[in-house]
Amino acid sequence: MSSGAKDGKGAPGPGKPSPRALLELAALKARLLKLPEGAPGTLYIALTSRCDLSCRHCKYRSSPPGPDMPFGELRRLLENAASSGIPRAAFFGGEPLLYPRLEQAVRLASGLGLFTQLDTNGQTLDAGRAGELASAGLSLATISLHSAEEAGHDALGGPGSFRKAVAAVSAALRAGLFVHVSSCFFSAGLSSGEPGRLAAFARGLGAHGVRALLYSPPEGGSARLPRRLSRTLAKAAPDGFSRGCVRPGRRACAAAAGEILFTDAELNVKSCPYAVRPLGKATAGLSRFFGGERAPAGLFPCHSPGRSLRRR
Amino acid sequence: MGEARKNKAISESVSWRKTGEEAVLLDLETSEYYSLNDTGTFIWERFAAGRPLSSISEELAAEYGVSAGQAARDAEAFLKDLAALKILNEGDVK
Repeated sequence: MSSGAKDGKGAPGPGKPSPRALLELAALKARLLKLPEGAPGTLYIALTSRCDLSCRHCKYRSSPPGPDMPFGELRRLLENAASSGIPRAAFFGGEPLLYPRLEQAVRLASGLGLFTQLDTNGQTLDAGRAGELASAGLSLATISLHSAEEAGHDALGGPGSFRKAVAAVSAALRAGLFVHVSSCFFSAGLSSGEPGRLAAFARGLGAHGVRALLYSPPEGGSARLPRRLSRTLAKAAPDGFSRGCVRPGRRACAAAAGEILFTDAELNVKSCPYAVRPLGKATAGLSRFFGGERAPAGLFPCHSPGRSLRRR
Repeated sequence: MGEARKNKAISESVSWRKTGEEAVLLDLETSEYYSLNDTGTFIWERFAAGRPLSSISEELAAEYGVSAGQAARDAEAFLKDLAALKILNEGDVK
């Protein structure tokens, strides 16, 4: 009979997340080591397609907003995620801070044992709201910040959006949350050292990491850029502070490897928020979407079939 | 945050919670965490609730179908391991 204590490093980086958030992260890491076969580590949930910004690079910019996710459907989705062994729920949008029952959603997810994350542009994330969300069980805020310079960010998000996003990072840190900066890079930015500048800036703010994304045009992204981004990030931040969709040394992105899953506010499931092809409806359960999305050789789920055909 | 800590033998810096069927213990001073298997979780939950070792051993023997002596030795060894990791204050373990 073994009692089997196993150790692992749960150390956060800079900043001081609350003891609750630290414990939630430790529990998440423990669960990720024992994921059920094929189960994704994270379910991204678009609560709404509404947004209070109109970022120039956003692929949803020209789409008229649809209905918010009904709370009853969200409850069923979260219960299904928890019972399927998915350990993390990431509330996504549109802008999830606009969802009228966000705090309730966070409380529900946290109560189901899910590590709870918010992906936000941060425009209305002040100290009061961050504190309420932390009290409800939020552990990680991922806040969009696309440049280390005000002009660079505001060129995408609009005037004043940089200062609000920076203030949101501070508010979330003060609330005891883990904070990641989410940045969208363009191919030109990869050559000009932007990932390194952004990582340094995020560290200076006290953030715990950078999630780097690539601009994904509606017709699908470049096949080569995700791996190039991965290499660039590894050079800019060798300690793993900045991470993209493709881990260094791997060929498949997180979506293709089945590490993440996404559902929009109308319960359409895709392998990633930026994947081109819908996989089906979440209403019949999530487990049938486990295992990742097979993309054409050398490509990613965010590439359209048309683009892949043109490449050949 | 985590579960209640009713046993004063548990270090002040340790927080814990159940995740699925297993317990995860986090030492906030060292940032090291430990996940327990089902047997460890069985013992830990009762220990954290303030139950004496003798009572835990009896339940352990009944639950896992081992002798009372074996259960007592295993529970004691487990708690000693945790004391060595500073999860427990050694002098307070009873």
